[in-house]
Amino acid sequence: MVNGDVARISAPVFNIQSYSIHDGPGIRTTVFLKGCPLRCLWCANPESRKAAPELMTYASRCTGCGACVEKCPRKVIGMVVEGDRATAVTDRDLCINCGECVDTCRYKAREIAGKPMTVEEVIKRVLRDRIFFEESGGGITVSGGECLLYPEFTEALLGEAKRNGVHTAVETCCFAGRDAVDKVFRYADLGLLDIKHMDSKMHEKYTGVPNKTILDNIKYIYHDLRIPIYIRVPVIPGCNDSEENIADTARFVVEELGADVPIHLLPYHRFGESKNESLGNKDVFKTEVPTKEHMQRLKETAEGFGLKTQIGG
Amino acid sequence: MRKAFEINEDLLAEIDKTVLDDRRLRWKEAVRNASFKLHTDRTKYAAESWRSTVGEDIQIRRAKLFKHIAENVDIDILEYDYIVGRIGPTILGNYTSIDICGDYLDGLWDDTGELQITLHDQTACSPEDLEILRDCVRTFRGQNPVDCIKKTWREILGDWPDDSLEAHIKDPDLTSGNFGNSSNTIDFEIILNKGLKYYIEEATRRMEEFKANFGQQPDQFLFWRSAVIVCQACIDHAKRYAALARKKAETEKDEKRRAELLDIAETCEYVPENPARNFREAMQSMVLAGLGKALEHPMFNQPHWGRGDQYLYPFFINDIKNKKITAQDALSMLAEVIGRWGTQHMIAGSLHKQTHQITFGINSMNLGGITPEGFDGSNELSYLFLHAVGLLQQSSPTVIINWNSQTPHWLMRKSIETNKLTGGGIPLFENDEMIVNSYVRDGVPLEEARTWFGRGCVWPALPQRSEYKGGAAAFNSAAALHMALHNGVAITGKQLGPQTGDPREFKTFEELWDAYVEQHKFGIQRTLWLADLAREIQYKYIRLPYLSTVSIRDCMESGRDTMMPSVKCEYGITDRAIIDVADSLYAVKKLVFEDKVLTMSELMDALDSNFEGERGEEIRQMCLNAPKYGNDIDEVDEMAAKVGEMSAKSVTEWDHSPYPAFKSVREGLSWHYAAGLGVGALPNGRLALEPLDDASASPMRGMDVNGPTAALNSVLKANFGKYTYVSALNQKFPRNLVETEAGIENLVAYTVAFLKAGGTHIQYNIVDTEELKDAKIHPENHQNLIVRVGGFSAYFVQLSPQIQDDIIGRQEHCLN
Repeated sequence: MVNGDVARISAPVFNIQSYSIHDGPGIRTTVFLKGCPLRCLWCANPESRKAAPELMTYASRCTGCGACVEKCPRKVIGMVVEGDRATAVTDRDLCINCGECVDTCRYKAREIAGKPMTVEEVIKRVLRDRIFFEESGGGITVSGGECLLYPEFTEALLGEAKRNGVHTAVETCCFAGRDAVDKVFRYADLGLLDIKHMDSKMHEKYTGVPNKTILDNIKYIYHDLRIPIYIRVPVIPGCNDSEENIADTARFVVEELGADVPIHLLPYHRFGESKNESLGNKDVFKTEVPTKEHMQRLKETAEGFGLKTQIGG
Repeated sequence: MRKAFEINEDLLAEIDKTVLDDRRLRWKEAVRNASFKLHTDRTKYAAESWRSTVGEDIQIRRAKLFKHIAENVDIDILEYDYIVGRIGPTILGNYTSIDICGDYLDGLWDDTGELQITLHDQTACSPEDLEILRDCVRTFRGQNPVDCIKKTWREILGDWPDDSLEAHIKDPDLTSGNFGNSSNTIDFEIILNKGLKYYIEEATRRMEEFKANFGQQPDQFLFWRSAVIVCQACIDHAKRYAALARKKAETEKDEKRRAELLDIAETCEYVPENPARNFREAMQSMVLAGLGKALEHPMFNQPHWGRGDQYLYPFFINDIKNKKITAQDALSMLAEVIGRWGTQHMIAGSLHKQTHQITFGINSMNLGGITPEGFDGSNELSYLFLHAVGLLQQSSPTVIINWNSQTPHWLMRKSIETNKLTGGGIPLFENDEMIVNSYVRDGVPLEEARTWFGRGCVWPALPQRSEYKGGAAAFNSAAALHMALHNGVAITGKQLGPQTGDPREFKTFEELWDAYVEQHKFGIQRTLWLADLAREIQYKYIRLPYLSTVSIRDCMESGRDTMMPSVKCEYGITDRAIIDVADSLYAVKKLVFEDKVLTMSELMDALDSNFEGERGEEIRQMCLNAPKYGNDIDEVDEMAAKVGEMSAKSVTEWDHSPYPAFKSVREGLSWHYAAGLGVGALPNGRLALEPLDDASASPMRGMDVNGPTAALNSVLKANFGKYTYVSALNQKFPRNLVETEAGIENLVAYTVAFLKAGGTHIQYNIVDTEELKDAKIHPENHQNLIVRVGGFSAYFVQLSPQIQDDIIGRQEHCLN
């Protein structure tokens, strides 16, 4: 189906999620790539940061049977007994994420996040939901992680999608060089572009990088590549949820982009916390979820700039 | 696009604003607080009449029995009633069908007098009431169809019919009363447009003709005679309500209510005898004519709305256009009748309760759909019906959207919005085009095929054809697999199937397959044969003159009761548990014969010990982890297609000409609980006696983990619609997925995409917090529960307990 070399380009994928209804219009299949240049404190998909495969464990499913302890080639899994319950615990410093323990676990308490998939494999899976895309005006969304790390892959994947008449969207942090941006957006119908903070210093504090490249890329994608975009702002209490920051963001959108660019305010959720546990990450960032009232205030703030604003994707 | 109706969008907007009026709210509250009452007066009159007509023809005896009941049962008009006529004088209650089903009541012969009358209600009977019931049993013992069919079955097949019931190979028991056509719908089109007097005139004319032409079949004459008796009895019964209303008006202090009671009296003096002249009379006529069905056979009391948005539309729209009623008036009347019919319980036997898990008569309505002429039938009344069921939030009626490519978006959207309000499967969607095509393929004229409606649940039926199912509505394929795995021995330890060999000796998957097919075909043939035998016995012991007259036009024309064998009929059966079998067979194929990680002996040891013992849990996990239907995995979906095709063909190829072939209709209901009691541990990882998979096209509980679209892709690949009229599919969606505008639109698109691609049926449960809480405690049952938030990927069960609590807490509003 997919021709030649292009089909064989691969990238690490950690999930392909069907019936995604918050990542662009209609019913979509979202392809989550693994690896990200940013280190946002609040990351909801912490398994997407590193490009390499990573072991995730689900303690609540572990029955303490010990099969993984025996199987582990490096002998880095031990049993921790608490009361009458034994749980297998992996020494993360020594674990090489080889995945030998995953197959041996009958209770699906272990999994390896991320495996390389070719464009052909991904597109085949995505096209299975074609009838739903057609009926709903949906399509494929490439998310992450960060697809800008895999420009050739993303370009080829979206190219194949377009060839099959499927609507394409890209969800990105926009932190990359122009080459990568050009490739990723060559076949994109829609960009879901994140702005995490308008103050570059704060941006760097919370994500590890300043925001200049990001804002420049957003302008480039919208004005030069002429791709319809939504601006998405994850609203993280204590980090970027001040009315001032939202006002600054809205001002940027109105002045530097256009008043017809919609803005989506995505309230922080704590669902990523479980994943940090599964990854064995310690001392992770935690904050409260924003209140409904606060979200409504922020929405009104952005609307004050004449922007079409919605809470949630 | 061809339309049968010009839709007035302002009227739709007006309907959206209608609410349950104060009287309806008080009624709802009263229903909530009422206990269910068993009324014995009908039972007493049935026995009285039967004893006084000894020696007369059965057709006349049953007609006189109906008349005696209609003349004497206690009636009342309650303060909530604008449309009068209910089963018994209380807000909730029903009679028994002892005169038809025999000795079927649980606890009737216990000294305590405690009767289990519905699923939840137990009632203490007074000694007098108990004696009335017992007397009726004695009166009809050996003279009711259930006793007599069972006796003949035993003569021919020995213990097998009873043993197969005990082993849950087939359902239901005859005592469900669901034999021969007792669930026909009422022909409201004739009743509303011509009145019951039409039947009296027609029957009288035919009797005159009979005499003039020296008729040779006295049974015909007796049928017409019976038709006159029962229709007159129904009219007189309506006039009893009229008289009662007048009497109540005399002492009524409230002026408004007094006027209303006089209005009720006038209305009941006019309908159902005469054609209805407006919407109000139409509703009143339907209730009183519908009540006749309950008086005749209380177990099958449901009149069925059928295609109500078609035959009621002229009455509705004329009154609206002429400003005789407002949308709110119409809603109030409709809600009153939907509400009453939806709370009519039946007093069922224990097996029926076990299999159905409900005891209300499943009163169904179809909305939209294609008119006989081929136009889209969706109209403002379809919308009003949906609005009313959304407001009432009752578990009955079953509401079926007859989806077809002409179905307008506004109806689909209202349907999903209603689903959101009702939570569980109301309305559901059936594929009008596929069902019509199936009928046409099976030789039914196109125009007639388009008139199909859901009889009870999702079961498609033609309103003008009787349907026979004497004690054979469903066959349990998983029990057949159980027998294939045990050389024909059922779970009860009895040899109920052929000896197909010791599975431990099977060397190839094909040997297992062949054994299964042999068991399956044997069971199906026996089951269908029993139904055929029942058809030839039942009419000697039961006639339903009222139902025959007001449901099947052919009865009047041919002068034959609907219980009489007729080739103008339908046959159907649910061959259930296809997915349990497919997943199980695939697991054996893969684990034993392909990957060779287990031997048949090891597997059988594990199954026979219900996955206990040394390797039990290990083997169970291997079984559970084997690929499952519902995940868009071609190999296992092909197995589902193969099992489904084999099973459907074993049904449709049963030759009992000149009667039309059985159709395969894989309905849902809750039979998977009872059917599970007939099945030991299965190679799909299911434990012994646990419920089977729900519905009939649904994946194994919680095992469709690739998202909802993957499940639909599996269903479509299995291509059930090629051989079956309907294969029911249930899906769950967390409430947050339909909270937003876009969420609703996406579910509409999802539904349409599935049906367009050949899905036959789908219904949604909008998952509430209780379900989420259960998923937290039993993640193994809910692995498919999805969480969807922008840019985030996970399943509910993958999240930690604290986060799950977070989601449970936020369930009521949007997760975004």
